[in-house]
Amino acid sequence: MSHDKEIQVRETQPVAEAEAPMQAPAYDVSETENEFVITVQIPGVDRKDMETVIDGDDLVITGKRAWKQPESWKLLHEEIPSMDYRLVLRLDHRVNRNALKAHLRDGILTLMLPKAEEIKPRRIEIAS
Amino acid sequence: MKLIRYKTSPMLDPVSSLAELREEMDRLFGYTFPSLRPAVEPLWQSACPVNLYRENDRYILRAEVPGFDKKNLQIEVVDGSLVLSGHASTGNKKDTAEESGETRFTRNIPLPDEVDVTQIKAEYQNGVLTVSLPKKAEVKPRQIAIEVK
Repeated sequence: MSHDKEIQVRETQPVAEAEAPMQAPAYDVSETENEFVITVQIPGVDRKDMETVIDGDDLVITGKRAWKQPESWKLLHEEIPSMDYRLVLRLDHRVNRNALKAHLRDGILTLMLPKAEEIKPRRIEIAS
Repeated sequence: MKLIRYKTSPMLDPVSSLAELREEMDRLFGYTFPSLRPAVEPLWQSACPVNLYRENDRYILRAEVPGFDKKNLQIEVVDGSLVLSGHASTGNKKDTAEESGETRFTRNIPLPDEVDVTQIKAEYQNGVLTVSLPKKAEVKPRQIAIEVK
């Protein structure tokens, strides 16, 4: 499936502040030896309708719910908000910003943020 | 409790406003889906928010359940209710035991009698489960032959 391909995170100009109300998606952060892994829940967002940009120190994730209720459907019960998603996370010196990677699958966006070289565990050889 | 949206004067279009009034009453008294309560979120489960729609000959349910593989999602009809459930392990194999976890959810949606449970269809895309619930065809009078002995 094509949606499993990696999405390259790109660096762009600051994005314009959105006026419509946005929903902050649920997310998790975990850590491995070499990277931080952020998983963001954005069900209902197609790969082409989401964007991850680095704006200064901020990692800005936006996703549009492109699905529209067809005219002939009548809403009976509503629990799912129709707002778009927006999540802003602050990056610090521990992240190597040039090598962020992301992929989207089944409504979950996974971001891989490699750790900066300086904070990686370092083994020091002892010269005898 | 949800507020009902404000309507402009019903005098302008009495026919369609009558139909709308019925819809509102249905919604108020839960006529169509008798005891559908908002998604509750027990600590050990994730939420499964749903939207319900009505079309001419079917109902449509949309549920947001991100992060599941199609084979880990289950849809059943149990005792007149649609039961959606799913489980997924979020842990990576190389993670330590403390880091691996499991996500699961269950949602029970009472179905109106008019739904033809043999024709229910579902699809899963971008973490959204869409279930089509067709209404039964008009109930035909059935003739039962009685054997006279």
